[in-house]
Amino acid sequence: MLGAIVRKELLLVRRDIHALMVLFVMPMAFILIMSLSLQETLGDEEVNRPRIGWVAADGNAAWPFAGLPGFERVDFPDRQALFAAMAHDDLLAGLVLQGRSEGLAIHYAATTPKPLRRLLRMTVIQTLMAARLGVDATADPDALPLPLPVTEHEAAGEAAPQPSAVQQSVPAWLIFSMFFVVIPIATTFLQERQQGTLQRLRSLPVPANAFLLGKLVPYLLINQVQAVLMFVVGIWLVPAVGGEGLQLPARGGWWLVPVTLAVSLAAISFALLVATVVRTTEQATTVGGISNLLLGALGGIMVPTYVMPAAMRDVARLSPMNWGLEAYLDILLRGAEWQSILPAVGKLLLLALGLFLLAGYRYRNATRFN
Amino acid sequence: MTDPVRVRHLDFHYQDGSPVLRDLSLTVPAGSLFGLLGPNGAGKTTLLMLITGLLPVQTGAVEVLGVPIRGHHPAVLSRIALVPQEYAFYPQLTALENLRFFVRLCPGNGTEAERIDEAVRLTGLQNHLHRQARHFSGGLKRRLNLAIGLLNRPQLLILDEPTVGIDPQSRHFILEAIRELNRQGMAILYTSHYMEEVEQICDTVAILDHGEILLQGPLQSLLKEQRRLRIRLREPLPAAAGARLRAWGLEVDGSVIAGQIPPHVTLPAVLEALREAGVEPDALEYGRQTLESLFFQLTHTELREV
Repeated sequence: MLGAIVRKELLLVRRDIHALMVLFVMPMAFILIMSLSLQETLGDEEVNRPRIGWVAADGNAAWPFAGLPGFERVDFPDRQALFAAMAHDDLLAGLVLQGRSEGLAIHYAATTPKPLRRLLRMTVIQTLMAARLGVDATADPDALPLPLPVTEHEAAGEAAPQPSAVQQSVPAWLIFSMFFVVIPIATTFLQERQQGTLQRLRSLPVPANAFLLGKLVPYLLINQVQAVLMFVVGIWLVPAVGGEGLQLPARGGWWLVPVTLAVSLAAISFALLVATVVRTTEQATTVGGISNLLLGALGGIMVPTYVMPAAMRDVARLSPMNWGLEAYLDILLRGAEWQSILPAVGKLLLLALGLFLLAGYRYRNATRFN
Repeated sequence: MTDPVRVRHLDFHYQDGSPVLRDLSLTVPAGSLFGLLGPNGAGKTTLLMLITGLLPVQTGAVEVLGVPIRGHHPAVLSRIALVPQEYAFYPQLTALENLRFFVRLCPGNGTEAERIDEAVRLTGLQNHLHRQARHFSGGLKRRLNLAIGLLNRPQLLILDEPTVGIDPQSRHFILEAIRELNRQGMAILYTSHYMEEVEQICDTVAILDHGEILLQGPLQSLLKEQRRLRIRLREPLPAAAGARLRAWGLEVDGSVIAGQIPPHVTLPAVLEALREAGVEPDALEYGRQTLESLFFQLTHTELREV
C-alpha cells in the first residue's frame, strides 16, 4: 500500500512541470545568480581579493603598499589613468601618494560599500604604523615620508554615491511587492475562468481591453498604497526602532510618483499576461512567484548591484525591477530630475504596453473558458 | 418575424485540426423554446460559443437576431444573454452586488434598478439579496445564475444546462420561470441532458451528435412521426420471418422485435407476419416515442469518451 502511494506521488510530481521547476530549476538559478552576485563580497580573499589602484605621484612606487594585506594592488602611471579605470573597472579605490606634504589620498569608487571603505582605511593606517615601528621588514623607515597625512575622497568622475541600507531596502522591496500582484490577479482571473464567469463576461458587450483595464486600475491603486506605506516605514518606522531613517530629497521628490506608476503598470501588465497564460492556480503561484524571485535576484533587489561584479551588473540591467530600482535610487541619492529617470520610466512603460497588448491578444483569442 | 438563430453549413475545428462541427445547419424559430440535445462531446458547447461570438466563425454562416456574427459583436450581445452551466458569478459578493455589477455591463431597456427588480422577481430571489452567494444552496445559485442572464431583458436567452445538480423543487421553479419568460415572447435556446425536462418545456428540438444535426423540428411532430414498436414473443422468431421484419427496418433480437414501422407498413401487417410465422406475442408496446428513446435511437447507447 505504501509503495502504491509513493509511486502515485512520484508520478504526480513527475507530471507537474511547475513542481519540478520549483524543486530543481529555481534553486539552481538562485545558486547561479547569488554565487555570481556575491562572489566579491563573500569571496575567499586569497582567491578573490578586492583590487586597489595605486599611483605614486612622486615616483616612489616602491613604498610599503606593495603588500597591502587583503587587497590586490594594480599600478597606474598617473591619476588620469587611475580615475579612468575606476569609472569602468572593479577597482574598490585608488591610492595616490602625492608626496610628503600632500600625503596619501584614498579615492573611493562610488559603489564601494562603507564597511570596505573602513577596512581599507584601517589597513592603510596599520600598514603605515607597521612601517613606522619597523614591524614591516620590507619597508625602509628612513625612506618613509612620515608623518604622512591621509585624506579620503570620492573618486573623480564618479557621480553615484552608495545607498544606505534603508535607501536600498525601501525601493527594492517596494518594487518586489508591487510585482507580487501577479498572484492575486492571476488567481482571480483563474477563478473567473473556472466558475464560468469569464465565459459570461466575454458574452457581454464589453471590449476585451475594457475588461483588462478594469483589472489594471484597482491594482494600480493598490500599488500606490503599497508605495506610500513602504516610504512611511522607511521614513518613520525604521528610525523609530533605532535604524537610519529614509530622507526624501529636498527637491525632485515628486519624480517618485511617475517611477512608481511606471513600475506598477509594468508589474500589473506582467501579471495580466501570466493570468492569460496559466491554466491553474498552482501554475499561477508557481510561475508568478518564481519569475518574481528571479527578476528580483537578478535586478538588485535581494543583492544590491553595487556588490555585484561588473558582469552581473550588466545582467541586472536586463531586469525591469532594476530599471525601477535605479530610477528610485537616482531620485533618492542623486537628486535626479526627470531627464535622468526618463529612460527607465520609458522602458517600463513600453514594457507595460507590450505586455498589456499581449495579454489582450491572448484574452481575445482564448478558446477555452474553464 | 426574424428567427433568433440561423446557422448555415457551419464547420468548426480547433487548433489541433479535429473537427467539432460539420456542415451544421439549424434554425431556432422566433418565439420558440428550443431544446438542443446531444451526448457529451457532440459539439453543443462549441455551437453555443459560436452563436455568442466567443469563438470566431471559420466556415459557414451564423445569424443571431438577423445579424451575421463572425466573432465578438457588442450590438448583438447586448440583445442576447448566455447563462453558462457553471455558477458564473462572484461567490464572495452578495446576490445584489452580483446583480449590480452585471447590470452595469449589460445595456438594456429600463433603468438598472427596474431590470434588477424584474430579474429578482422572476427568479424569486427577493429574500436572499443580501447574502453572499457562496452561502447559497445549489438551487439558489442556479436562480442567481439565471437572474444575471435576465438583466438585459434579452430577446434570446441561451441556457446551458440550467438545472444541473439541484433539488426537484428548485428545478420545477426554474422550469416554470423559463416557461414564463417564453410566454412573454423571449426566444430560448436550451441545452440539457435531462430528456424529460426538455420534453416537458421545449416546443422545438434538435439532436446533435459528432458535430452534425441528426434531427430537428417541432417536438410533438417528431415524437408523433417516430412511432416505436416493441414486441416480446413467446418463442424466438424463425429466420425467414426475421428477414422479412428486418427488411421493414425493424430490429430482431431472438424473441424481441423493436424499432419504427416504416410509413408503408402498418401494425396489423406486422402482426399478420408473426401469425404466419407461427409465433405469438407475449407483450406489445406501440405508440409515441419518448424523447429519451428517440435520443438513444439516434445517438445509440455506447459510452462517449471525451
